[in-house]
Amino acid sequence: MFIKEDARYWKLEMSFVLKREELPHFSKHIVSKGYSLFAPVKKEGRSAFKKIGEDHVDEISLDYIRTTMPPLKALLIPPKETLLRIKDGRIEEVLPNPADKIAIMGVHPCDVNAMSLLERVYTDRPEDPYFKARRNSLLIIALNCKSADEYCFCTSFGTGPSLDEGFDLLLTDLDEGFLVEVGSRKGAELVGDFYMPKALSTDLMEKDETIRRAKGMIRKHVNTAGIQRIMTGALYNPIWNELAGKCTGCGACNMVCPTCFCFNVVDEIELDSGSVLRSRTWDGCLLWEYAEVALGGNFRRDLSARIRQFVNHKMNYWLNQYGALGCVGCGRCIEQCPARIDITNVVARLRGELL
Amino acid sequence: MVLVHLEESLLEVLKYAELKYFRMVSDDDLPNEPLDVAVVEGAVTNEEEAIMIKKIRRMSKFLVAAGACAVTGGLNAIKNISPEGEVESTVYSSPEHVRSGKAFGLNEYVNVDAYLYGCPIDRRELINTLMSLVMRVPPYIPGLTVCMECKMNGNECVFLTRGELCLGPVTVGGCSALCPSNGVACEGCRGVLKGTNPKGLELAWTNAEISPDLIRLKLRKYSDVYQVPAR
Amino acid sequence: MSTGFENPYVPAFAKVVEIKDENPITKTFKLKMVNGEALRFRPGQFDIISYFGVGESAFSISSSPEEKDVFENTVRKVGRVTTALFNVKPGDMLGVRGPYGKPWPLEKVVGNDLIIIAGGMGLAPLRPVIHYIAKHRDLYGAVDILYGARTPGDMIYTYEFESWKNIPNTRLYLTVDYVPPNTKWEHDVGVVTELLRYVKPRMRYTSVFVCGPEIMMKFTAQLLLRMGFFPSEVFLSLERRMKCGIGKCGHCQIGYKYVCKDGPVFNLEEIGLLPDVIE
Repeated sequence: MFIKEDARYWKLEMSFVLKREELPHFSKHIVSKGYSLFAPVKKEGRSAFKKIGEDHVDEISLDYIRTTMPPLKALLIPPKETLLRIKDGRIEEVLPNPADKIAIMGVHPCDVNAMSLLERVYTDRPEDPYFKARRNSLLIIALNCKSADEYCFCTSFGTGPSLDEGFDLLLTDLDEGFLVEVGSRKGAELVGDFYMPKALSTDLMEKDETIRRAKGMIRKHVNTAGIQRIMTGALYNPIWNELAGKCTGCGACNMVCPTCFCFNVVDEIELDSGSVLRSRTWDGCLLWEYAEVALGGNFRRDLSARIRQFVNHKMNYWLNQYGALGCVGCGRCIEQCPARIDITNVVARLRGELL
Repeated sequence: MVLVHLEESLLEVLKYAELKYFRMVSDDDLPNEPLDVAVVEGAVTNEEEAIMIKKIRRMSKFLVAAGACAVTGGLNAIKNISPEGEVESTVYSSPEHVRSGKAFGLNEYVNVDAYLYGCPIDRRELINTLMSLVMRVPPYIPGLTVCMECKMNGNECVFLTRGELCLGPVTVGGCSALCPSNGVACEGCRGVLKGTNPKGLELAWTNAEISPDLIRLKLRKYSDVYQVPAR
Repeated sequence: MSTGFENPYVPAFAKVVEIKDENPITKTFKLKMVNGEALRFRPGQFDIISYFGVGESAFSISSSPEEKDVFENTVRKVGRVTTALFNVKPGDMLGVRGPYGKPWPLEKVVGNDLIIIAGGMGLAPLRPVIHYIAKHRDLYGAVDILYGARTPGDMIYTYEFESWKNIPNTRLYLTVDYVPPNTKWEHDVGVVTELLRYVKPRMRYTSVFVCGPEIMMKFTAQLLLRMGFFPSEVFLSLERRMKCGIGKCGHCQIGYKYVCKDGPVFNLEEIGLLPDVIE
């Protein structure tokens, strides 16, 4: 009892309220601390994360549900990145500069949790130095969700709509402004010299109410109880063939998935310098080439096998590989599928919960 | 013509190779000596062209089909599904001077060693292909879709947001999703990527209540999507 | 640039010291690390070779693990990187990363009889095993090597066959699918599994190492199980597309296994229930 109250007290001590009209100033404050700031900006009704210059802080709009591009994946493992530059028998590592501090503001809980999953892959030994360098210089200002749409299903994985850890600062959109909670020393340093009034216990209550409301808006669901046994049992289910009739094989799901981490590596020659650039590019298991080997051999020749790989990797294999399911319920793969394939629907059918 | 627009890059590549014949640039005759590499643009639409491409094939060790027309017949192949002469008489005022039958990619007549997709071809891919040949290895163009590159560029989907019929999901990538990145639906000029499912795309469009005529037209613009994949 | 992290994607330089022609489309490259260090590997592990400007490819290390300062990769010309390697001359530099992967379980099978079954290029990851056995002959019981190839001309390491036969208590059986006219061939004709008739295995005490084309491994595995071998004692070395070798790029996954770090050597028990194992 005592401990709980103590925690509550500490939480209040480290919680502040940022007035809505102060958001641009706070953003400027972040930039003035030497961070490159990324935040969501609205364009034609859709939000996307953009780098925010000091003069554009007014454009930040934290009122959004989902960006098409998974923001943290795009920052930590850029879609195309040069790994090495080879010239005259010398190999130069093209590593991110550790002095380049990056702050990202307004990331939703599902995306922060997806990043933690990427972290398991990329910091599993041997560590990926490119990911690691960017992760170390990244400051995360997360944003609890105040609403959800028909594609959200984070509650199935406990990856949203609110966040308990994995952030430096955590915002919640309240009536008056934003509740700002501190999650790390880096976060504390950032609010340390920017005046904000301390939060009141009523603010924390309003936060709980906001999250409760957001939860209530989530309609999609994946029943994860015993999901591995069900998925493994369904490896030879006719559903994969049926889906292969609908799926275009475009790989958009791979691209927009915040936990899809695969990449291809190519060498290119830079003509003017004569050096070889070795770069990696996002890749996807929906592609024919992905599992192709010498002499045209291919272990996932059928589209059905590739769809099965995508769904099973998220809903089955991840658990063996990294101790957690590989889906955070962000809804991107459903929203962005031109064929309207719905992973929650696939699982529900395999469970016999739907026809 | 992309080759000409390479300008300085072309000169860099030419450090390693000698240009023997360039029909679009000079009117010289086809040389009579064997070539290491022939880069051929354009579809084959009549017998003379068929004889020409066979001759080029015989004299060159490595044949690159460059551009949508040389790869699949390209836009010209639209006429393959209409009665002969019909398309010509809509396009030209005196079609009797046109000597052109059905249009096919080079591989209809000869073995092609490598392809450069698209209309126009991609400058970076052209350089990479030529440099691969300089290093005496088969060229490589990654087998991803335009749709994936479009997502990597951070675009919103033109089909899902505006209902435009985009061929990106089934089209060979490598163009950096040039068209959809500029808000224009992909026309499929780079051909169909092996392993994708155009039937699924047709179904998606049908479910979006697009008229079957329009769907057929879209899927046929740059040769029939149900033909052998371009890559 | 000093980083504080060791970068696993950076290859070390190796010098090509010798190139042996195994057959018209296969060469063995003998490499020596430029930094003077040995590539410490165990039989069955692989390395990733860079031809800068073309790319990287994974190859089984095919030399004896006892050889300390040089190592070998046997390469068949099938794709871009391998074509580039065929243009390489002694003295040229290549990039090398590795060794990677789980080796053949040579410690675990100490005391057992061994059957080594290889098809075509599949002999490459098994050659280190044979050299290891020759060196540590008393650790293992009877050894039978069954090797099949398409034609006699497709075989590799033919120059070592005599010395393998001379390893005590070791037999080498050869077969080909087809003997071209005017080719001398005194051994079997037929698929490699047919050579199993020469072997009188003591099931409980025998381990089998298999590597070859997928179709060959599929039939061999089926036959071995039917003969009564334990699935846990039949080991296969699998080939998959690989872009990193360190469990990041994702390509080599079969179910929840990564071929690059959980394999390439698996026993049948491990992979029995996984999808997309054999094409």
